[in-house]
Amino acid sequence: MRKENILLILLFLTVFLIFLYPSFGWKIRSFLSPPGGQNYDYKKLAIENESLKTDLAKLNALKKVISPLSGNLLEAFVYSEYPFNFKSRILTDKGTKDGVKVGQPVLISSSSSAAILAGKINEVFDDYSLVETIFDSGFQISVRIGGAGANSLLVGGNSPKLTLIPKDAKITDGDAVYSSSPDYPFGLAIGLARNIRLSADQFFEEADLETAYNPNDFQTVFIDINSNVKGEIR
Amino acid sequence: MLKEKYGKLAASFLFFVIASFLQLNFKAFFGWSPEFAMAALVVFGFYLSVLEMGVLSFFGIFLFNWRVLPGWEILFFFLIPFFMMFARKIFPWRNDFNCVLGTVFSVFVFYAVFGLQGILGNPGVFMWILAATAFFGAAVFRLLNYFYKISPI
Repeated sequence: MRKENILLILLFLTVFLIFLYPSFGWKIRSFLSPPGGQNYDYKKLAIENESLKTDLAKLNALKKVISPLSGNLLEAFVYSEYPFNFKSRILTDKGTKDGVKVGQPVLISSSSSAAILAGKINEVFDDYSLVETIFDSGFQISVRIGGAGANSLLVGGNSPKLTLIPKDAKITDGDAVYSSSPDYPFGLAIGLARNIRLSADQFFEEADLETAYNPNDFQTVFIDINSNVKGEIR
Repeated sequence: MLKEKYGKLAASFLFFVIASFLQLNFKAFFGWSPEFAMAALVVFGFYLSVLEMGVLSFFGIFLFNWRVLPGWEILFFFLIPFFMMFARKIFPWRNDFNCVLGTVFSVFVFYAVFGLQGILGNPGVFMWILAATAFFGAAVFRLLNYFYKISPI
């Protein structure tokens, strides 16, 4: 057989796989990628710890119990993730057929006592959806920090940052960060504030966001399907 | 002659798998990664035929496609090595310099189109990505040229 014919066969075979069996490529990719970084039990405890800190902060700030979740969480398996830099998006196996809508919050834990906001639904198709995670450079959400409930804007990226914190805000290293955007249920834990400092323009403070997980840990996520777009909670 | 051509293709394929492995692991550990896979594809454009490049680029799409149907980014990822394959002929410089220039240009255009916000937010990281990608591209070019004498420098 001529060399060109073999190449053509290879070419057709690859095109066939791209369009009909994309999951095979994802499997090869996950084989080439390292396994999830941390010990599962440790990660579970760290997530629960973050969530408990947030609960405490919420209770101190509001003096009332708020249940941020509707309780109807849809478990979604993560097929693959964006392979290039500066964006952190994942493909999940749940779509409009399962009740998923654009803007719905995506969590990294199903337990209502340890629900951590990990991103939001960015695009939805019949059988699958794309999630923009907090590690995406385009992700932004208004949040509150600590028991004093200091306002801030969380800006996503490889190292998510808490920006526009008022200089007189009473926050300390390790304070819990939770959602306060009208687009999300109020009080969803996000992480902890670390390395608080003055911003470059000296008008505000800023801090790093520490999470108990990293972008490689997205293997299963939970979509709050009862949370409608624009944060309306049923 | 035929054996050498197959050897070239097999070596390119292995280089591409190694580049993909490095890229995925770098990203997993550091949160960002030089574009090793794109650099490898651009270098291959300097000595493989269009058909051979097609096989490798389609394999690249197969491996890096993250959506059910390939999006614009993946399409660009597929087309840029072909563009460089023809663009290098109009550059007057030596091929090893063209190769470095080609990898830097490819990565820059890719992120200018699909990740401008990322570049503006992380200019330092982007510079590292460009530098490391250029270094990797030059190293792959030198190595392949040493074994196969593929392209006059």
